[in-house]
Amino acid sequence: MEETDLKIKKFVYKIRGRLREQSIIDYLLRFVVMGLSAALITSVISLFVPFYYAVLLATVIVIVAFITGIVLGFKKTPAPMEAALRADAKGYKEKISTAFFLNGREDVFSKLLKDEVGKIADSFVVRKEFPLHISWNYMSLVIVLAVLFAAASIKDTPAKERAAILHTVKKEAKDEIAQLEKVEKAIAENREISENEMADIKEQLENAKKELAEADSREKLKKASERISKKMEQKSEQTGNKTLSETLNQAAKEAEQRIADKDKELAKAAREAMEKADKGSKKEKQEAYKKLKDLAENLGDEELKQAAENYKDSQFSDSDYAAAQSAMNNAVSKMQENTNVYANNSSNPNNNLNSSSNYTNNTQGSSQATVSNKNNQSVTQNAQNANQGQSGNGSQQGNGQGSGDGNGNSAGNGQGSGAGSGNGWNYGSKNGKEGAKKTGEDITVPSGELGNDGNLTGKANGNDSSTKSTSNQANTWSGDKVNYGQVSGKYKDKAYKKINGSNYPGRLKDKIKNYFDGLN
Amino acid sequence: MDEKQLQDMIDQVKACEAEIGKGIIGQRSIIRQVLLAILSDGNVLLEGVPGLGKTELVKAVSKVLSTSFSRVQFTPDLMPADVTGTNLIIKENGNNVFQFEPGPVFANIVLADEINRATPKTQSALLEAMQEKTVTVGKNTYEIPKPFMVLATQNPIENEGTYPLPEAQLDRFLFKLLVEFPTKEELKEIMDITVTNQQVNLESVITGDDILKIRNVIRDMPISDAVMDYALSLVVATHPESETAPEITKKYVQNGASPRAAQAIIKTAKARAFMEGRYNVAFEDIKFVAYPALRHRMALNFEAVSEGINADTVISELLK
Repeated sequence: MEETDLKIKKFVYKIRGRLREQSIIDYLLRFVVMGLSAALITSVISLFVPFYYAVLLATVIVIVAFITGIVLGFKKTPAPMEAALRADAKGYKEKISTAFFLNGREDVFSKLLKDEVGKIADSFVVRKEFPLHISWNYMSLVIVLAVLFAAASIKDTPAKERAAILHTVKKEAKDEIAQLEKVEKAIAENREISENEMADIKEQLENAKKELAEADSREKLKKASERISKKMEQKSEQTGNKTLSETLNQAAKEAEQRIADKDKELAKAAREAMEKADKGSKKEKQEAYKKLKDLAENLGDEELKQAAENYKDSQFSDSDYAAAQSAMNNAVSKMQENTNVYANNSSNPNNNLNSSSNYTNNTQGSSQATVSNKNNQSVTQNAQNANQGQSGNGSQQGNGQGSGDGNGNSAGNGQGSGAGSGNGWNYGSKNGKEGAKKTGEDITVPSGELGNDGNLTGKANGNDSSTKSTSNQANTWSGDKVNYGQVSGKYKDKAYKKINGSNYPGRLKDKIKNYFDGLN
Repeated sequence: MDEKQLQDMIDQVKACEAEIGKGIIGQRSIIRQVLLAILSDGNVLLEGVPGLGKTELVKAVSKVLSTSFSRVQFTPDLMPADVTGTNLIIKENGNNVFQFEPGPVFANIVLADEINRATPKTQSALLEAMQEKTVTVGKNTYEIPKPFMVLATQNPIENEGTYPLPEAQLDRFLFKLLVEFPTKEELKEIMDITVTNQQVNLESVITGDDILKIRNVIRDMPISDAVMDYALSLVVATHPESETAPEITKKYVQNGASPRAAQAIIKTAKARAFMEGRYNVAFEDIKFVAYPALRHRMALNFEAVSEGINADTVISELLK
């Protein structure tokens, strides 16, 4: 009798095992459909909204749905009695379930019933009676959703590119913040710093961190880094605390180095990618486009950016490749020149005129604007720059850098802190005096901003006059660098006018005024 | 008991069913249900218009079962003593003594014809006999011979001068069977037998003792928890106040079935499984006996009556 009981038990558990398989299939399909739907929604959103982790999140959702389906399918396996009843539904009139229920009982009915069910068990083919059923509706849905999800994941969109850039920027910002925290820690350990100074530095560092954290493009991050570096440099010169000065100076130099390294790294990556793209596959060309764009973003080089876009839009044509290559070379040259300027400024504080000349040349470029001085030096330089294809900014005419007898607003002489705010350009301080020790501060002016030639005081050609040419068709790009001394006064006036006639809260007005006053 | 003995019993019951079927044309389901009631030790209320063979059915059953049979025609002037019996004064050794004279209820099968025509007092005289299988007259209680069952009939059309059976008495009937009009073919067969010289001689195929033995065997018929649970859920679902009651119950049922309904369903389902030659009770057995076991135990409200909803409609919904 026990043998029959065991046989019936095994039989019922065998049926149950089969039903479990079916349950797992059912739940798996259902949850995979749900998971893929959610993944698809996430992926589609990421096509339009920058969301770097969209694909990762979508994949995790699908995996979780998959596992949940299996676990739930397993957990929802029918109980043995239910399995027996399911088998009874095949026309066995509750014989199997009753026999299973009568386990251990030995009366006449139980015995006869169990014998009968034993025979049923022998002839019962579980696989045949319970074929695994796969819902083709769900299956089709899974396939369709999977294909759509894959397509949405692979497709490149501006939002995705933006997400990738944002991700990199945030990561780099995080690294920069970590560096700042190191500096902060080092400063905190310095017992010689007064409380006021400590509070001031802390506030500045906090602001710097905030600024870094808020940066949402390579350009902004770079500018923020540059500003922070300048601030630290300035603070290191202002403070009387030698240790603090060294710490800040060191930090500033390191920051500058990182900026330069980053530029070089991106330039190298872009050059390598372009080399591969030449006669390379579409994927390599696509990669080259991305690298060019990264470089352009980092350098704030609109020409390069445009060249990269053209390259991509033309389906990577050879002519646009050449144009992109040229733009890249120009950008790299410009970058190297700027790097040299930094280096020169750092090593020789008296070479302001030279550095100013460089700035002028960079900004003139294709506009072929020239400012002749008595030595006629800049004429040659401008022509050279123009030939090199560097884009110029006609609006920056007439700055008169480096020329004259030193009474003019020579570039780069300001005391400017260079701390920027707003849309990514700095405001310089008042015009400095020629011969002042400070080196030129780079600031950024918005594209289209016209320069003011009223400050030209150079005595060019010995006739107290200068020659210049202006072109409104000159190429411009946002973020062109000029000496802040040329624009700070104007911006300050603008700002004062703006806030005086506005409904800005008093606290905010004060903050703006304080900012400009602080630049002095 | 072994398998052979069990199979003999099943064969006996099947033979009994076949023999009754010889005398009663059509009405297979009614015959099956009457036999189920007999095997389950219950009483049956047969409802149908006159002339459908209700009385003939009872007579046939009595003959085939080889048991004593008595018939009581219920009328408004019928007294309880006319049913149960009474004490008579007789002379014994020169003295006058009371002697109990058993009434027609003292038989194995009692046909209470047109039971709803008798007064409630007389109807209730049957209560004790139906439930306790005893009759109490004066200070003495007399046992009724076993097996005992009451087969009552009532006419659903003529309500004038009738006394509808009270709920308590209805509940004592295991089944309420609705005798339907025969089909044309069945009617032809009935004509062939009843209006010609053709005779149908029914033979006794089973005795009262056999019935008692079979009843004991059927009681041991196994029923799984799942099937039992289904039967009980069905009874609970007839109660409008129950949480599991479906909408139809809440809307149309005034009072649900009593626990006797659950007993009736389980007992008769076992008997049906036995008659089907199975060793276990199946869901289909429960479904088969649900109608006759529940229909007279559910009190429908006025809304149901006004909308023409009867108990069978509600039961059908419950079984879905």
